[in-house]
Amino acid sequence: MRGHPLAALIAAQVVAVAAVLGYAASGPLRPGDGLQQLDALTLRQRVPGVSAVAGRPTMYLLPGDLRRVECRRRLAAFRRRGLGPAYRVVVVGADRLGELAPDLALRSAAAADRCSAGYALVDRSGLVRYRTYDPGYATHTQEQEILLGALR
Amino acid sequence: MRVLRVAGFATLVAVEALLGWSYAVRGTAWHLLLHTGIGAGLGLAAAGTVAALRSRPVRALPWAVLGQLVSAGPDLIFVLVREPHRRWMDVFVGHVSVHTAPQPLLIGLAVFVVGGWAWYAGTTGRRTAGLLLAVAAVGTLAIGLALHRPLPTRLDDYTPGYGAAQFWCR
Repeated sequence: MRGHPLAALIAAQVVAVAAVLGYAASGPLRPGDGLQQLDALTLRQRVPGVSAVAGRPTMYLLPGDLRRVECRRRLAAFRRRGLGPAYRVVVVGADRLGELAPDLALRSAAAADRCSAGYALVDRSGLVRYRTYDPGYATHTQEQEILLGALR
Repeated sequence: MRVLRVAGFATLVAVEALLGWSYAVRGTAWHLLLHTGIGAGLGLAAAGTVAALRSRPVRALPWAVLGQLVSAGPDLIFVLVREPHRRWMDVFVGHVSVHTAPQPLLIGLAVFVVGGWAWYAGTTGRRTAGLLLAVAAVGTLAIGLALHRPLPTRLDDYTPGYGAAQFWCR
């Protein structure tokens, strides 16, 4: 870089601009993108009908529209991987607790993408501590276990 | 000496590749872009400052990678120490708060661009310009941090302005 500092600088900046524009091309640069997978347990809210299953940190998983093949495939992949035995998972809309979804939804603003996947994490005392949009949740079990581990 | 330089360069490239892979497998390309822009930009601004003060050229790549590692610090802590993000982690050049600044990616890009020119000016003998541009790079981030929205503490805080944070299917 010592030989051609200007060329190197311009090349790096062209790459940076292209990377950001390329990312923007996949969707608008929304202020809220930063809250996706932020990995900060800033919430502390009790939500009626939501509790820690068996007194353990619990993930409330919203897998998206299960009528879609892709959503069912992701959910199956997630179930194959699973979380550690110290945690519990409730798949909202896919089991007897499905009726909880509207209750949670009412406490959220209108969805930008109404059928995207994500999850909320509940601590042992039943407080909702985290929520995120994460369409790749099926392969992000390490991230989920780190967050749930902090709720033990 | 040449061997050491090549080894150093290879190490920096390996660090970059590992960092990129680490973010990619977690589906967090957005965060990689953000912290690379801010960290490398501030690293280059620091390099420009050092070059201006010493009146000598300074290599850019080590400073850029060092800055990137500082900016990505909480993410490394998350993976290696299994510690979620906390507010005190803003000591890593505003790592947490910058997520809710207005247009974080554009702020990161601006810091990177201005920091890069600070390095170029400082390392090519334009001392005053180098120092001013370095201050501008830091100032760009500072303005973004000053305008950031508080992190949500209740579900109601996820207003439509938070965009992709919404995910419920109704």
